[in-house]
Amino acid sequence: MSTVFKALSDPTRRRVLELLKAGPMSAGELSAQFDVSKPTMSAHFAVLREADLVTSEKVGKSVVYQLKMSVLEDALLGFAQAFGWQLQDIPSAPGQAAGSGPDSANTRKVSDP
Amino acid sequence: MIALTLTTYPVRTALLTAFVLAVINWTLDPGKMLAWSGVMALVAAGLFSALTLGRGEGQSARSIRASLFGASLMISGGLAVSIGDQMGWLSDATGQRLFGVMVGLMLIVTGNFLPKTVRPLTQARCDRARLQKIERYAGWLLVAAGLVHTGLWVFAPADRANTAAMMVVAGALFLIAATWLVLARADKSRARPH
Repeated sequence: MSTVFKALSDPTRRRVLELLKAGPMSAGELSAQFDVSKPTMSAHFAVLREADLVTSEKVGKSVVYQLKMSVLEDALLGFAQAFGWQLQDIPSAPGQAAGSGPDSANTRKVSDP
Repeated sequence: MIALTLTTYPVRTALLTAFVLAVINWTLDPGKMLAWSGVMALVAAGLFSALTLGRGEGQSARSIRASLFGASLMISGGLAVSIGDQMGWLSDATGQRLFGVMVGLMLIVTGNFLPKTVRPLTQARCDRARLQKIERYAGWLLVAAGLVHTGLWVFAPADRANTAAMMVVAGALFLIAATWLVLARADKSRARPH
């Protein structure tokens, strides 16, 4: 369950899930909606896949993502959107500063060249 | 999530428990031999599937294990209520209420996991976006219906709980079917050339 909270703690990943509610989308279509680099988007997709909130499938030359959220996870997404959960809000392990994990690098906004 | 974490051991234990409870019911009420033997045959078939499945780690194996576990819990619950009823531990109304609550919980669990059942896009025979929409909608409706069903069987007067709970579930199923038809019709009219 902690992977689900981690996945929902980032606004970009929450936006990806909101976009996927309309139906399956390719990685390119999703990436086009954000002002972040492709490696950063890939890292976001990996976190969502690890939390089992999306599935990916190779269709032709592109990777298509599909929503895979239970009703409870959907409700958690709604709460996260409403109350604006951020990575910094989640208590970190002792001795580890909040947002200093590998995820913090992935959530940093990087403008496309 | 259940499907991801469930191993073979709890599934077999739950199925064996259901089988033992069916045997106890048969002993207590041999008059309903046909019903108990039917339940035992069903559980035995589940146990056979669980044993055949082995320790498979594929998506379908995990999904089958989760379904078998859920079904055996439901059957065990019903059989346990029946034993309590026959032993005089429960009044008729309490037994009925417990069974109603179990059905409500089953609706909640089924509805919760319904949108998580994703089929590969390459095997899609219909519009995936529409299927996803209807599955999400059906999931939410079943969870809501399950919560109301459980609440009715806990708090409503026993003589009214049954009718009200059935109406709630029937209403939810009707809404799901109606939405499916409306979405399918909208898709067809959009696909039709002008």
